[in-house]
Amino acid sequence: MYKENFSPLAPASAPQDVKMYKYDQFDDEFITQRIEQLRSQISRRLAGELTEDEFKPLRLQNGVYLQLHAYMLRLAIPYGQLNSTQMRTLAHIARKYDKGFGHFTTRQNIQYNWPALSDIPEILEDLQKVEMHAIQTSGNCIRNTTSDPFAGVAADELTDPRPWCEIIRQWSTLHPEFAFLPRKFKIAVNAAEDDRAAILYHDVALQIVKNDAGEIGFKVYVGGGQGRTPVIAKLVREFLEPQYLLSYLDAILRTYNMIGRRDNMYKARIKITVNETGVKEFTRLVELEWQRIKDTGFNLPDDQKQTIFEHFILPKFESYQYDDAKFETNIADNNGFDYFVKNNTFGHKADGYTIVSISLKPHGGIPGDISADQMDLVAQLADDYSLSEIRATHRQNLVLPHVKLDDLFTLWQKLSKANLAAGNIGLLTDIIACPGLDYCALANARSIPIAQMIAEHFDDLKKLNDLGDITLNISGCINACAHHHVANIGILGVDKKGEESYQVTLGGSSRKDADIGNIIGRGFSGDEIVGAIDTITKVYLAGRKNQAENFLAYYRRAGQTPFKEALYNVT
Amino acid sequence: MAHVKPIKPLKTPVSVTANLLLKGLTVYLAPDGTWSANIADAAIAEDLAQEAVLLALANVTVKTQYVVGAYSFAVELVNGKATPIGMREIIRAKRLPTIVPDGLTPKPEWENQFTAANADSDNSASSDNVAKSNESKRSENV
Amino acid sequence: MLLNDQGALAENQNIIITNTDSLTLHEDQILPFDYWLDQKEPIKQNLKSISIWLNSDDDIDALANDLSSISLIALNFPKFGDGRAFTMAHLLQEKYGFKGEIRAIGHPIADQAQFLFRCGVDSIDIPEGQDPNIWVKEATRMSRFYQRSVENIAANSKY
Repeated sequence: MYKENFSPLAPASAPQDVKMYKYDQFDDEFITQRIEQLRSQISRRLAGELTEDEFKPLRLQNGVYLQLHAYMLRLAIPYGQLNSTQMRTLAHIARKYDKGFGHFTTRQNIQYNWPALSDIPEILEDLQKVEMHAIQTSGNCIRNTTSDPFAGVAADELTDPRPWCEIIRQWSTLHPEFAFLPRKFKIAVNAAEDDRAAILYHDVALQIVKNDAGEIGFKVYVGGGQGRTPVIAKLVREFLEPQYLLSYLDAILRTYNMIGRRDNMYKARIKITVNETGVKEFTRLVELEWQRIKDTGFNLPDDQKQTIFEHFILPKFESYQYDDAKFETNIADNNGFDYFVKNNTFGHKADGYTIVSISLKPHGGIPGDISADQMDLVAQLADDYSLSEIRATHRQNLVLPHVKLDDLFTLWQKLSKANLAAGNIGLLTDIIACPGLDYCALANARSIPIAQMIAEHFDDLKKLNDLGDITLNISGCINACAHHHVANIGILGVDKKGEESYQVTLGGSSRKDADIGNIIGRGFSGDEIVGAIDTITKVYLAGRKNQAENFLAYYRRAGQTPFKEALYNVT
Repeated sequence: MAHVKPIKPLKTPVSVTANLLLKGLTVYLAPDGTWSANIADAAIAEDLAQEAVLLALANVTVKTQYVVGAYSFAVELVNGKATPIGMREIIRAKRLPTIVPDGLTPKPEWENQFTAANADSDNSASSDNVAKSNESKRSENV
Repeated sequence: MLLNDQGALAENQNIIITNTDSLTLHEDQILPFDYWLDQKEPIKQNLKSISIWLNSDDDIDALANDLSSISLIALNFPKFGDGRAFTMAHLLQEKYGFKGEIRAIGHPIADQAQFLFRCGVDSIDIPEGQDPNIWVKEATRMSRFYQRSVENIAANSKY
């Protein structure tokens, strides 16, 4: 669990100028006005001038939920990018207004579990000082745009998706036409070969591609989503010239706003609209509207686009000769470091640098949770080893995107002291879990204790590595916040006659080979579920051709039968 | 003559809970119409009529913007005190998650077994607009 | 009470007609959309100034050919969360170039006032029992917008 007693580090380096979007005077004044608006809405609520029904969508659009124990505040981390100063503010908020910790979500955001309604304007003012906000982190509006947590520096990407995300962020912020949609609306952008942002499960997925002429554009998918009806987004446009991004999004949103269902909350997402209308007809409607507005509607002018792009020019990376021999020695001498390098690092564009994932799934920990002290430490390590930059991932982990290979061992040692060095990224215990019934007013069953029990059962890193690439996600209700449908092993908590019960799905994937998992059979009680997961892993280990055949590949080859036989003694 | 539905007795006793509007914290309706952080102080209704009275009483302070989202929930009696039955209400009554992070640094008002004084505990309020029953437990859309 | 896009209040002179049984036409009436579709010609003959109101699921495209003879279109919010009126107002203004008055009626909330005006609504019929002063304040709440208004005017907007 959390280690609070590590000694504070002497600041080795001050925050650096992180290459990310920086507010101008307009943005700052906008946030001031928005906070003032919420403050006034809260006063009106307290004075009885707004009913709870009226107030609810207003507070939700500012990220404020009322959960089981208290209010919850969800802050936006646009496309998951943070600087160290922002991370320190997140720690400050955890200490001053909360119980000393925060929870990173599958939307690359962070949420706090205990703020008082009366404190929220003040929290937002603290955030404003570091250019952050909580706008549209909930409500039936366009939510925080998400992206590849390695964006900008991933060795496998075509171009940096972040400027496009920022353009979408600004366009969608308090968009007057689309603030009261039939249901929430999520947009994700990816430019990498792999998909680390689960984009095909978003309402709109934008994959940046190159056409035959070598020009950059968007492949546009619409209608992906999870919840009670998981759907993979469908292709609506093979290639969208980037200058038309905003008018095309306007056309999609306008079409959805008019024809999306409003009679049934569970059928209101655009995935249902697309399914019921048919993708061909839906595409026709969007294209019809877009052709009408593509030249007369709003598209970001080139000079203003350029201004946004300039914020994201990559930092200067040092050219140096890294000490390969020492690196190999450290790996040979330290088992934990070996796994950390193997699982928690990813190829960086610059030679001598690596992208480091910090697992927020320490042994026995709560997936996505991080204490204020740990946040401060991550901020300091970012200053010392990652040009002051941090990312949040949709798998509820953090990333230091620019780490020199020469610094990796020291970084690992420092992370170890704070219980942040688990080398389990991409392994079975890198579990996505929603807050579940421990916090959430929607949940039917607990997720966190199940995640902990599984992590405790599979605590041998060697065995975990032998199991290899495998995703396990646990949702506490059918809303699927923890993406159980798209995990190789998905666990869904349900309420079965007053008892918590856990349904298992197998075969999901949130990557390029997107697939929705299938229910394997009857559910398991909280006492049985770890045993069931153990059985599933054993079936895989016994049946795989070799280690190169990962869990998903095996499942796709062998199907459900061997799992069913082992789990339910069916022959 | 209009069809009169027979009054169904409750399956289990119920108590009434809500969250404080300002702080958001879980509270329970006491027999005198005040709210307590401690479920042991909760008033108990044994039949539909008593439940309606409690919900009407709760509604007084819903209307004065003191609490939000009042509803009734199933309890059992242990030594004469209300004890929640379902996991959801067991967790709410603990006022903490079942897995408490080590680093949690509680503030006094979170843990105190306070009894909140109400602005108005007049129980003569009409029962129209009665707070929702546990049939439709409050939830936020994700 | 009406609120206009400058944040000013005015008395509402109109009556929203919901029941058209044995209706005698007057200029101050806002007529139901179905009734208009049904009685277009007599209405045009009887009234110099025609006002109609639409529900959020009515098809505004069906108005396209008659817009020049209509002076006021009211868009109904059956509940405030039904945001179709925002797009309907936008389309009336931007797609159809409607020159008359666009009004929001029914159950909008004050916090939507500015969004409505940005989408092309000219006036809002403040729901019964609400404090008009709150509406006046919310009508000018923000002066910074990331998007242009429906007229594609860049004033107060970032781009």
